[in-house]
Amino acid sequence: MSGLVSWPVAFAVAREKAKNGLLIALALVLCLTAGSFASGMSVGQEAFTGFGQVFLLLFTMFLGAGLVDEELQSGHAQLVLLRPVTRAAWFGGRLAGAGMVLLAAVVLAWLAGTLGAFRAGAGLVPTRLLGVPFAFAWAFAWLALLATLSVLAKGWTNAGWLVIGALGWFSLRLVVKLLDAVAGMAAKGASEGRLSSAASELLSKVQPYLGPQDPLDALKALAGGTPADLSPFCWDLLWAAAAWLLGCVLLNRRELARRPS
Amino acid sequence: MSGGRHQRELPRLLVGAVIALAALYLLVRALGHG
Repeated sequence: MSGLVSWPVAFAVAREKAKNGLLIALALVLCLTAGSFASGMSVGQEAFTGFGQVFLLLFTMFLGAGLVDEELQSGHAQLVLLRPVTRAAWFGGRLAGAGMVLLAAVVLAWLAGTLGAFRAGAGLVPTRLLGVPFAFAWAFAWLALLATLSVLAKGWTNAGWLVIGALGWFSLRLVVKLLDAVAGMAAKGASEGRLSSAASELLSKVQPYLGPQDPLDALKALAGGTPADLSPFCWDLLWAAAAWLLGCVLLNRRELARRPS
Repeated sequence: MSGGRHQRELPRLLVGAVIALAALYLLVRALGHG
């Protein structure tokens, strides 16, 4: 386990992030949103859907912004790595420390959502407990991606890359859809064999695999006793582990010596 | 100073986890569509 995560590094990161005012404010907003959106019908997903999901993603982005590069730029990482700590364990420590703070925020929001739901008359549903691991897996997969991007990107730009990547992707989808609509008007509605229709369909099929998938829909199905699709949850676990591994590989290749400016 | 071969070791546990989780995902997908 020591090769995977350097715990002293992890606890130091967790302490540093837990004192961050912006993160505390976002966690409070997350809790308020969770509490106010809970209803008697909610089954544990209410804290992390809609606005709750947006705030959880924002929290994760601020948590992961510059997670690795800031330490490399400041020279702290180089000092820590003089000790018998592998680069992978140091990277794992940074990610695990931020992950602890993320888990704390998820648990608090979940508690706020649960209290709100009980006040609104919701019964005790066993699946409610799954809200924590499901939401955490989704958010941690994003955090692992941010940490990996932070090996390559300067300072906070790893979060910027993510936003630009998402905007670029949705612009591409929009352009293809518009082209398809224009082509559809020209062909008087017949969509068969049209290249733009096929491209639009292909993009929508590829989209779920470009990032973590929201696993919380499964909670409703589980609470209702219908078969639930657990594959998004498994995808998020795979995504987190794969991003973590990629981050270690990239950090092993990165030049750590500070360039003279 | 900071660039020895030992320092760049990849944790085997993590490599194993990626392979195991990939297998689990494929299994869940296959069962879900079965």
